[in-house]
Amino acid sequence: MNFSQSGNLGDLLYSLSVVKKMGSGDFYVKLRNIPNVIQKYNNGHVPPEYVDKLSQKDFDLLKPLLEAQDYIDSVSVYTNEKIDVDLDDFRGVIHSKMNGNFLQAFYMTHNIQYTSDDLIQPWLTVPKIAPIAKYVVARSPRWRGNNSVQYWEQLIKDYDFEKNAVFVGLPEEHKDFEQTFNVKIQYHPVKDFLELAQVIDASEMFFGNQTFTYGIAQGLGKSTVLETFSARINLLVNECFFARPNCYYF
Amino acid sequence: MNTFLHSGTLGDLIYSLSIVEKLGSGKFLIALENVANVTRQYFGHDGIEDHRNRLTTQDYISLYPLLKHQSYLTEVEAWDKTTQPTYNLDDFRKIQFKSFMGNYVEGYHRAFNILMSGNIYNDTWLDADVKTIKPVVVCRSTRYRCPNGDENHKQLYNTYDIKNHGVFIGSDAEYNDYCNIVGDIDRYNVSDFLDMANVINGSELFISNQTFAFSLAMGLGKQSILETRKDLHLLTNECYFPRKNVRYI
Repeated sequence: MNFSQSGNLGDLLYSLSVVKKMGSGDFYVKLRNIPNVIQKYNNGHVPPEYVDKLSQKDFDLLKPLLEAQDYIDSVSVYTNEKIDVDLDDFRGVIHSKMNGNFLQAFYMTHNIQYTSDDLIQPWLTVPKIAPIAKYVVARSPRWRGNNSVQYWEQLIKDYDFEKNAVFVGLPEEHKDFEQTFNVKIQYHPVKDFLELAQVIDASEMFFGNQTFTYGIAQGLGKSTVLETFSARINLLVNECFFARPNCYYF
Repeated sequence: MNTFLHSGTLGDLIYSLSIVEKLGSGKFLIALENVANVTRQYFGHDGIEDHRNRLTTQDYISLYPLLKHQSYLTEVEAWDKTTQPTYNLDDFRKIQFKSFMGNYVEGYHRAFNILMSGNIYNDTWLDADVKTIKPVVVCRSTRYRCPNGDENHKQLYNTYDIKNHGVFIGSDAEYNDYCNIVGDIDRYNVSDFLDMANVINGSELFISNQTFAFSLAMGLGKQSILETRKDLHLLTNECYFPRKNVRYI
């Protein structure tokens, strides 16, 4: 079976849950196609951050992580192959026909029977590495919450981020985190998203907002603390809410 | 010692207990005849007429045994109107039905900046004894009914043979209304709200609309069927708990 996805990174990652559910197959990544998908499903407005995404660089970073999944036989850039399952179709369902968890959106889009237990099952595995840090932190500029600064300040103190955590993500995100919370936290660059997933997998807990790295942590079934997006503070309508006892939200 | 203040009404107060232990337990202060002040403060009006003089002294007397039964409440008192509480639980109204539309328990957690577990909707927060009167306990108040609610209750009446296996808890008017619309049912007059919680806890199934007794069933984690208001999507309904043992009609 041939699967295709245009991204963005987090959306692609969550879509793997139904790829696993449907069985194994070949995975094709459509490059620079997000604007087309958004124009098809979201009334034409393409936010600037989606222009030219996914890039070849995104693909190169993603490929090792996708290839590490035993339900994916091959990973390629899409070049007009016949596609059996277009994973971009979820955009016609989420935030229009349903509100809620990404996995639920993919299950509904592809008419796959599911239970509430299916929505909390991990779907990623990676080769084990020695722990880099006890906690892994990421915080992107988008998808931030209301009143979140006081929560972060408390978490930084309670979990002693300076001593116990590393920050993953972009260098400018790391700088923003240190400046916003007046904290020093070690930055940990990675060579690709497989290594990123391994760092998260080897940690005890992930802290972040609704960003790609959070999707990795959920795919791995890790304990998480999530800053929820201010426009969707009701957890039941939040696409990143996973009803696992080891996941926390603010 | 922490002090917690709540003005009601009854269901709102019961849902607030879900955060008391997380905030450190302590003494619970009940504000009498203060609901109108609170609704005026947060919504600019006196609230619905039936609630304006609540909570009453009788409400307090009925609530007291249930609150005293909870291990995280060291003392329960009527508020003297001067003591400044550590936590004014009425402050959930700053966000509930305003910036936040959704489950009461999540609303309290957000209003008081408490980290929420992914299990938040399944967590229970009340303790009661088991007192079995009948397998099915029914309650139906006059507010928060859905357009086809009467028909739904008639179906449930037949499905669960409520005539023989059910018992109604609630006021005289609510009981008479149920008998007239749905069918005959035994009635149990509770002595107080701990007794009500015990009877719900002793049931196999609890059926109601969005009323105080439902908050007890959720606090206890009982299997339930809820008649929901239909002016809100279920996901934004303040009484929606996505639990495997709760069904919504």
